[in-house]
Amino acid sequence: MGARALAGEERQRTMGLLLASPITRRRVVLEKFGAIVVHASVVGVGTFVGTWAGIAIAGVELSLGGVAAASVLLVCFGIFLGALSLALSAASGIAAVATYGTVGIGLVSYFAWAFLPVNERLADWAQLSPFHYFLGSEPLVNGLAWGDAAILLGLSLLVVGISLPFFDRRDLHR
Amino acid sequence: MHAAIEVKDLEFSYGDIKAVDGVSVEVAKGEILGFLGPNGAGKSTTIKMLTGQLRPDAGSISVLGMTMPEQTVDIQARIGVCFEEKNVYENMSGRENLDFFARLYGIKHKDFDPFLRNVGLIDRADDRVSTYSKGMRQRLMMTRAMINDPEILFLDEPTDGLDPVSARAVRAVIKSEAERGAAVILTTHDMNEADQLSDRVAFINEGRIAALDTPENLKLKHGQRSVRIRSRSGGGVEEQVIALDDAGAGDQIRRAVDVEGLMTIHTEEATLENIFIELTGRGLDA
Repeated sequence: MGARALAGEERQRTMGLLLASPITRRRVVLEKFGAIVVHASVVGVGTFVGTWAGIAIAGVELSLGGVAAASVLLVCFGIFLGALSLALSAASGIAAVATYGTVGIGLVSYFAWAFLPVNERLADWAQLSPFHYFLGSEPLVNGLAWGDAAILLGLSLLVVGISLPFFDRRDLHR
Repeated sequence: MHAAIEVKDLEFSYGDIKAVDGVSVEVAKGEILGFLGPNGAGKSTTIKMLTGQLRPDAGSISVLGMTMPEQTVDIQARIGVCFEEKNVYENMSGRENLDFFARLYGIKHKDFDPFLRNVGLIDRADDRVSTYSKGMRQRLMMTRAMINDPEILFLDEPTDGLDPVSARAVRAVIKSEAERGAAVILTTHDMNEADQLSDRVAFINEGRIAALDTPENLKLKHGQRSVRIRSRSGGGVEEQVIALDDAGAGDQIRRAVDVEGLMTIHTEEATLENIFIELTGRGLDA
């Protein structure tokens, strides 16, 4: 969604028309980011309701608060990935760069989070991975780590903020 | 009193390629200015700068007394654009597209029916745009360009590829907008369209304006007016071309028509394309 938000508009040649309307480029990026937040939230609520229903039907012993905490962090993580994709889309204007760039960064950070702790000397570096803030606190067991959620949201705002001047300055591909 | 548009020494490059190289032009309110030139001449790039999509490398742009890029958004609120590409949202209906863009202009709950009726789209207004023909999309684009009652209309190849009926509808809309007082910048490589619609035409070639005047003046300055007379003669057909600017042209014409077997008489004048080729050394379809 983040990749399509801007680069998709350029590919479909609707971006030119949008930018000829009386709205700033920054507003376009920020409103697209707003749409990503709404989308991720809807997915998070759906995940929570679905998991809750599954627990009720299957009779699994799992804390509802833990599921809610995991859902909140899922939303925050989704917003971060969406923001990353949006930023790459804003800077490059190429949907493939945004999509594969986000997937690549996601994979690298997952493996970093999963395997760096194997080596004691490198273990601390795993904290640089966004997965650390998504799953590292084990939200299903320990509940919501507010700090982790704040870091994910902060990182999201940071990458979107960094992308604004890039989108402001560059020419449209189409 | 400001001109609707004042452009001075505009320049823009794509990398090492200079697309616009020192364009200066003024357009008055209610005037239709035709931007004539072949593909790649710099027409669309100039329009993109005038509508705030590209920032010029050099030069100044004043639109309705406001300057770009400082007041781009204020300018955009008072102009309408219709691009060559039929870039509307395909998954929305025609009416939803208009409503979406109207909201970007801060316009809510506007009745689009008169606009849609005017361009013959009222019966298909609630159908998805993906089901529209090219002509219908273009008419929707024209309608979209007018939702804010613009003081300036930028139209990039507005009738390109349209069927004659759609093209006529679009031209009628352009004329009525100019009569309403809107300045219209019309980019096209269709010389007939420019001739029919434009108060003045600017020939643009390799990023520069090669000539800027009314179509009539350009024809008078650069063209040769003549009469072509064909008549039957001795079992064949004789053809005479008499230049009207030549001394004694009247006598020559009288003699030429005072024969038995006169077949046709045609007045001829230079076309804008002929003049463009004369001035730039290249054709409009290049």
